Amino acid sequence: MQPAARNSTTGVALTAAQVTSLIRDTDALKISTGLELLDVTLTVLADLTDWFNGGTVERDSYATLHGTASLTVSQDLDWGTAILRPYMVLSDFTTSVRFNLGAYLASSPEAVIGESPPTHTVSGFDILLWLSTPVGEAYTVGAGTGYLAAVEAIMLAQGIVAYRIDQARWDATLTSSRTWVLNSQTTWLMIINDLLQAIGYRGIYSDWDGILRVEPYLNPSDRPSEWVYDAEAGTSMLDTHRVAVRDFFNAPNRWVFFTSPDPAGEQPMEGDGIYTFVNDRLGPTSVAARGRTITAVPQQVDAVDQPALVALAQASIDADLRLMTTYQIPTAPNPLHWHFDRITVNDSMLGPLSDILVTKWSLPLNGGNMSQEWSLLS
Amino acid sequence: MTILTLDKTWVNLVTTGAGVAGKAAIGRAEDYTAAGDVRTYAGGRRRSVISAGEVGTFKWQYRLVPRSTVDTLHSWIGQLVQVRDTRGRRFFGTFFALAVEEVTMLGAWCPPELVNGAWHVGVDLTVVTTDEGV
Repeated sequence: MQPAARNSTTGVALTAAQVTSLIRDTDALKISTGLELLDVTLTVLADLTDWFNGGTVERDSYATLHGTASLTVSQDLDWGTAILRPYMVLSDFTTSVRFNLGAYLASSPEAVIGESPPTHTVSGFDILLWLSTPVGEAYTVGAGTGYLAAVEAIMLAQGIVAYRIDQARWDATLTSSRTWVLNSQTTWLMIINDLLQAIGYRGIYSDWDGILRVEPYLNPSDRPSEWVYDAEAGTSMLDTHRVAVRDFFNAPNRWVFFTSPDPAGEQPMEGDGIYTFVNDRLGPTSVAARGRTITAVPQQVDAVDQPALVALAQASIDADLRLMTTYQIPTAPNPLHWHFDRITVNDSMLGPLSDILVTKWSLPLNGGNMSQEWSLLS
Repeated sequence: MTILTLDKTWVNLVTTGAGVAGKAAIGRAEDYTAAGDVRTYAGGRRRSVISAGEVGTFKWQYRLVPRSTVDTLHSWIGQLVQVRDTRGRRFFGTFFALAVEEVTMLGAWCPPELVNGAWHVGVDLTVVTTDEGV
């Protein structure tokens, strides 16, 4: 989620607790929205709020391009290069707080002919779209190159200047060169994510301001909870209509990951090039619950060492575990939500669940309830 | 002290300043509506959520105005106008329809501007947000 603490629109510093209270506890909430036109450095070129007629912002954390937006603008823009950043302002009629909702590359404007002024309904795509273009040639990262340096070099070469890289694995270098052959599928985004995966980083994503973020992967269960939803009379934000979906089809409880073996060298073995994980008892898909072992298709991956292999395997395993139980939950507007949010839910009607990962959400900018998709962590 | 008495409702086209005026029927309706509702959440919580931005309307009927006023107002449909009523209240907005009604019972006593006929004109003004230049 976005960090909650921030200034009010009048410049008063608010704590995380105050902003949380404004979003959750206010019994009469006022919502307004705005829109900014940005350049590639994310500098504001113009405020388009007077020509902005709302829309929707959506995020699917498992999608290739995580964020999408549908925005209605009564203004002609340079659609080929326009970057738009919608924002939402929540107010209790005394204090107003602004929340940026990501930067989107304007694309596919749909204009209603005959209206004056012309109204465009614009599909906006996550700024990751900038990297999601085919490479168009074979691409090689040489031996000895730092993984993070290689990622940064690609971003700079593609014209991305607003990014933030966690340097925790700055020292990890490719022991041998790696080449992505010329084909029709390889994009710069895929190469970046391949490099990040090899050092145990999560896939690159753009934040609420539009800055691209590169960070180590952390198991969601190991992350602190970022929000608590409950069904209490004074704080409930959960809609009365909530849906739970349990998917047992082909749900594995054993996974095998192995690194690419060198045909001329030693073959990988468990603990040194092979990582096996068995879910013995966790949840309804565990070996104990199903009464049998169901092995997922073994995956060959490119990891720099055994800890990196374990980290990227665990990311995949976590995802497999999470997909088993999902909840489709409408909630009151909460513009703090962002990428793979780890939350806690205390709602007896949904059962004894507490640890949740938000995998998908959609936020209407007209103040309507947002919809969320949650996966059960434990 | 000078006292200004307004006995007419004025409409001016913002782009040119051109104006029409006439006496309005009593009972000028002024309405404001905001998009909002009170929602019920799990646990029985009831919460009001309102979207910023009101829709305001100001409705009046010109009584016994000449055809030139009707035609001028007709040509201003959809354009930004300023309206000032007999209380000095001022609204910026647009109207998208006119309810025009011919008055046929005028006799020889009518004022000169109405010898060619008189009309009642109902106007529903939708108020917009406007920044005035200074």
